[in-house]
Amino acid sequence: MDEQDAQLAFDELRRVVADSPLAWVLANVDDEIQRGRPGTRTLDRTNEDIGIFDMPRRTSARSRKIERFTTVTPFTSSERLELLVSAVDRVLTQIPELEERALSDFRERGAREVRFADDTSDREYLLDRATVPIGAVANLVGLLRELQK
Amino acid sequence: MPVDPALIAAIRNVVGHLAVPGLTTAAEANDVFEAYVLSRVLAAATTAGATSIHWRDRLDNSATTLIFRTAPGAIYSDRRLYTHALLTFPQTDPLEVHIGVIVEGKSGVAHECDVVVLPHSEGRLCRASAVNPRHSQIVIAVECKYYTGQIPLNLARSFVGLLSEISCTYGQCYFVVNTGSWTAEKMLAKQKRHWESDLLPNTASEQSITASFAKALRDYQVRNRNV
Repeated sequence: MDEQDAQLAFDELRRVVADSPLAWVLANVDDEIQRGRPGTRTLDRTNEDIGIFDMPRRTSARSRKIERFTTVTPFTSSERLELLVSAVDRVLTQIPELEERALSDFRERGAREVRFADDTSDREYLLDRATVPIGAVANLVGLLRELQK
Repeated sequence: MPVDPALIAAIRNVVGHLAVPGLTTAAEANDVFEAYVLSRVLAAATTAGATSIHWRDRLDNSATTLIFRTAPGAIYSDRRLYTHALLTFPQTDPLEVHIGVIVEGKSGVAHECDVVVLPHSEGRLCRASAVNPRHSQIVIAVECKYYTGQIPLNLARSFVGLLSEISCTYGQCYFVVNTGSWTAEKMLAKQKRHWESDLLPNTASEQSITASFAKALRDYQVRNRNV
C-alpha cells in the first residue's frame, strides 16, 4: 500500500469510527498524530567552525564531536493508519480483559454488581462483562489488518 | 489501489453495532482501568497478609452493590452511598481503598487521587467531619491513565507536579498506564518516580505493580504495628 492509498484508507476508517460508539478513540489518535514521533538524532559537529575571530584554524586532526539532540518526526500516512488501527484493536481487546479481571476479583470478594456514578449528575451505569463476542472482535481486527495491505 | 468499499462496509457493520460498557467514552474506559487497578490493590492486600477484605459504604455498612466514582469527589459526599474496600490486617489499624477521592495537598488545596489507600481512622474522621483526607495519611496513591496510544508527556508532568503536593512521608505514589510512552517513561525513570506502563491482566507489569503495592502495605503494617 503506497502513502496515497494509506491516506485514503485512514480517512475512510476515521469516518467509520467517528460514526460509531468508539468515536472517543479519535481524540487520542489525533492527539498522538499531532504530537508526532519523538526521537533523538545524532549530529557530527566535528568540522563546524566556531565563531571566534582571528583564531587560526587548526590543521591537525580533531577529535570527533558527536552530539545527540531530541527531535520530533511527523507520522507518515501508513503510520497514521497503523495508529488508528492499533487504537481500535487495543480498545476492543483490552477493555473486555480489564472488565473481566476487575469483575471476577470483586465478585470473589462478595460484590454482586458494580456501578459508576458521580455527584454532578443522576447518570449511573453498570459495569458488566463485555458483550462483544470474541469472534466479532477477531473478525474486525482481521478486517482492519486487511485494510492496511 | 483504492480502498475496497466492501471492506469498509464490513468494518462499518461491526464497529457500528458495538455496545459495550466501558467502550463509549474515554471517561468510561478510565473508570474500567481504575476498577482494575483497585482489584490489584486488593490482590496485593491478600499477599501482604490481610485477614479480611470487605466492601463498605459511607455509613460503614456492608455493601454488595458497589458504587464507584466516575469523577473525583469528596470522601464525605452524601449524594450517594459510594463504596470503598476495608482491609483488615493483624496487629495494625485497618485501611480503606477508594476510587476517585479528593485529598488535601501540602499547600492546603484539594487534589484528585484516582485510587488511594488511607487508614480507616482517617476515612472515618473525614466522613464524620466533612473534610478531605490529608496527604500525610496516604499509604498508596495511584494515578491511572487509560490511553489508546502513546500517552502525552504532559500527563507524566502533571503527575510529577502532584507528587510535590501529596508526597507523603512513608506512602507510595504510582503512575500506571495501559500503554507506554518513550518520553513519559524516560522522564519518570530519570526522576526516579514509581511508574508502570503496559499494565494489563496477565502481564509482567501486573505482577510488578501488585508486588509494589504489597510491599507498601507490608511496610505500613511494620511501621504501625500495635504493640
